[in-house]
Amino acid sequence: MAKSKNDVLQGTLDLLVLKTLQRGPMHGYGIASHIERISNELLRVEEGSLYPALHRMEQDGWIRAEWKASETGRQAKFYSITRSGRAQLTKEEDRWQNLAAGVGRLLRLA
Amino acid sequence: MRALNWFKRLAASLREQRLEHRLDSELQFHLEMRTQENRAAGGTPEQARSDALRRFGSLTRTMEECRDMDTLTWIGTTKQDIRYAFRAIRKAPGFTAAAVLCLAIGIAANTTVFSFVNAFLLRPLPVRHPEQIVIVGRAGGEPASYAEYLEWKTANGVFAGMAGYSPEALTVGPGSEPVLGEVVTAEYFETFEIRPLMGRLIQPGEDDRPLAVIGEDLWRRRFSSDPGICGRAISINRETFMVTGVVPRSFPGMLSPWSTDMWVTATIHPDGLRARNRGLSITAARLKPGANAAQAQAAMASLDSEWQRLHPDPEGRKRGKLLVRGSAALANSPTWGALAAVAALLMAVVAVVFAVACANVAGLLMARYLVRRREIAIRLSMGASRSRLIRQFLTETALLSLLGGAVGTAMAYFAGELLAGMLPASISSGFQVQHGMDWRVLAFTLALSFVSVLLCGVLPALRFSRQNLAQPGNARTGDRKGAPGFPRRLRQILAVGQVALSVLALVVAGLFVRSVQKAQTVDLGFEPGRVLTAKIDLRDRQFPPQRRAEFYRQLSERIADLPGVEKVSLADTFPLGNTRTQIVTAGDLAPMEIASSTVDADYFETMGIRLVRGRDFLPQERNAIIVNEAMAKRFWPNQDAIGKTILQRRGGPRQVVVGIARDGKYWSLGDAAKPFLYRPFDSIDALNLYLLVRTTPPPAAMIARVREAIQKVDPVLPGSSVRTANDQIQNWLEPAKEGARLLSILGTLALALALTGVYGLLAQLVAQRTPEIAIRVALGASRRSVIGMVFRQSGLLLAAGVALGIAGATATTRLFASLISGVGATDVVTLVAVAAVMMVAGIAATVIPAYRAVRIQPAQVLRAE
Repeated sequence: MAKSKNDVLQGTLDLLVLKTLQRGPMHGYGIASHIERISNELLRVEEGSLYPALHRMEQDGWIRAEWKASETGRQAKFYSITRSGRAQLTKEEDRWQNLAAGVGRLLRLA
Repeated sequence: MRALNWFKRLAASLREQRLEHRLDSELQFHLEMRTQENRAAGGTPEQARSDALRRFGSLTRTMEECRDMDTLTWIGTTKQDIRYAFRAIRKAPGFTAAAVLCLAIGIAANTTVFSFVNAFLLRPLPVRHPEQIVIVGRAGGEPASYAEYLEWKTANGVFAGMAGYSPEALTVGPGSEPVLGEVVTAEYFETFEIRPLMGRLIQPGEDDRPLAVIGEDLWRRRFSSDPGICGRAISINRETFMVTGVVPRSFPGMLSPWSTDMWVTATIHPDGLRARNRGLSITAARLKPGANAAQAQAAMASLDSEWQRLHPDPEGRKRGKLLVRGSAALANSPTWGALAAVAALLMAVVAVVFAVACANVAGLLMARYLVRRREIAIRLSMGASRSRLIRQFLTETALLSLLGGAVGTAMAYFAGELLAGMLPASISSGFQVQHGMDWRVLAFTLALSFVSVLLCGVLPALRFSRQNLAQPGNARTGDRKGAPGFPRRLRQILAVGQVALSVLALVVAGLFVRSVQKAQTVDLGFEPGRVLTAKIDLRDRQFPPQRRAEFYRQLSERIADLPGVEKVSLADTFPLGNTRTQIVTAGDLAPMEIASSTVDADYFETMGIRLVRGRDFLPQERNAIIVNEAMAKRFWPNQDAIGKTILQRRGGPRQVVVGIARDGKYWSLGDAAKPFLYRPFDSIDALNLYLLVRTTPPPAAMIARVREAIQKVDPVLPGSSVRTANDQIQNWLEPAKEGARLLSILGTLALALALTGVYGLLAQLVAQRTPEIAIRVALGASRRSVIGMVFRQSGLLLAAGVALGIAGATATTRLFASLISGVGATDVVTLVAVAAVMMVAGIAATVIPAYRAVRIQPAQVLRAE
């Protein structure tokens, strides 16, 4: 259970994944491309972090997985957000807003 | 949530195979999608695939991490840890045995004491819904009369049922040992909702029928499990009773922790429930659902004041306030407070024993890890994480602790049986006491085992899992020479702590032993050395008062005629354990309750109580009293009490003080001088009295003759209660003696454990320093200096421990000063004696290591190096 050393990044990935899944069930690839597309390629999700994170969040009960046929007709693992995941998302959003506000103020004033 | 989470991971780890396949397809799907996308952007299929792979990074690593997330990795490693721990334990049987034994002793001592605390203080009554049961009784503890009971029972708006019971020794069949019985009211079994094993139980309305219910144990033991027992007539105390049923073993009676063998109706006494001179020791009731003790008390209080107005006490004594109390075990009895204090002290002392035992095991573990240092170093250098290593150490310790707990529980069970059998008669009353081995005790033991893991395992585990302490380089040579200060300092601190704790335990034991010794020589205010006592009980003889007076007169005359008898006296009390009191108005003081005794004119001479001033009672004297010094001082300070008068009853005659007796002990040996008054008999015809005989030869030699004389006056009367006054006092001392004995055992246990610790440390020290000592000897150090070195080590250790222990003792023994009498909480004799014992024993434990140090042959050692 190695925890990432950079908690902010780790937390941010959770936030991005949960936010994406709020739109509906999606597989890993879909999540990665969605984040990249929406952020105008500014954010790039590493597969090496994405999948362990998905599995961890599944264990934590924030997301649920289900095997379904994908748009190409192949079986794929679709993730969807759970109730506790939504609660977590709210928490993560708040945390991020606070952090962003704090960093923003620091950049303006310091 | 968390548990669910674990469960999911657990399930996952069991589905590993399928999971593996799924994980693979999940990641493959991702790669394929990426490849497709790359191809759509242009490029050969091969290039698209390799780009996708490159972008993904290490597939293996990602899979590994996902797997880690999915499966509970520690299941696998814990299995490994346990297997490894078993192997480590098997590999060092000596170490394992020593550690398990230490822990077992520590745990057994705690469990044994706790099982008694549980039995006496914690365990609820053995009935259904014990929380509904309340005890109804008076503040002073005086038993309710049957008349009161019947009154209470009729007005039970708050009670679902009420029952009274009294302990009574019952003899089943002629010439057999008495068993513990309860004389019960007919509502007893219904109120406590007891179901019979066979037959039926006594039912409401059957108070006047001679019925008996027997316990399963007695039924099996005495009636050979006779299936036809119900309905049979048996003889109990020479009366005929019909057995109605058998009660299962699960209900040991309401006198728990004593186990009742038989229940009988009040017909066991003449006149049954209507007997005026009998009462119920305990009255209990079951609250109606929703009612609580406070409501019940309010309801009973109004009832009782009315009753008291209608039935004033014939002697004008005030009755205590009627209380309704919860019934947690003995909580209803006045002895609960005293018992709780003793229990707390015992628990504290066994906790000390436990701590010493754990320190021993910690020391053993450190010695063991030191031996295994090389292996530890290799594992660390091979990449084992520190946390993993700590976990493994703790797994081993846990295994040892559980073994210790199991062995300790078995030991505690036998120790409990032994102690229950050895309880002094004053506690056990001669009947079997059940020590309380139940789930509470087992849970306590299990908890203790886990605490022991923390106490003895954590420190060594932290210390020995550190990388720098076990450099691979050290591993080769480090088996013997430790890194500087390692881990000697820690072990020294442990040993000092052990010595200090055992000193503390020994001081506690010592104070009790001294207090008992002091009690033996305490001045009682009378001369017990030449006095015989006999308790005469005429309650069952149904004599009218004149017949009783005649009996006492004949008895006195016959005893007085015996050769060797100097003086005979009758009194209503024996000095110790006296509970009789009088309300007295005298001097300028408000009415006061004064302990008292009713005696005849020969009492003071018989007992050897000196009169400080004034004179003895004259034969048949009325309206005279003799007070003790404390009372004279209290009521008439700086005046002559002789000739002063007191009032015992409003409107009654004034009583003149004719003499002042010296102070004595009236309730317990620890008494401070309390006011006390003696008054003469109006007429000697009480239902029970003490016969006191002053003898010329040692009183023990006269027991048989006095008993014979009593039998001659009335052959039916039991003569067995003739005892010397000294015996009577010893009996009184018995609980204190038993306590001192138990504490001494525990103190000795702590001492032995601490010495083992000191010995272990020194032995290891010598072993560690063998090369150094060898070099010193080779360079010309004398034997004496080698021995001096070892003894200096142990001496410093012991001195530090003793000093610390004494300091701790003086700080803490005040807490239980109320339990010891006659000695101060910081009794110098005790402290010095304990310090001496500890030093001597400690030095003795040093002899073997010192001897080994002297025997070191430089040539051999240096060659081995």
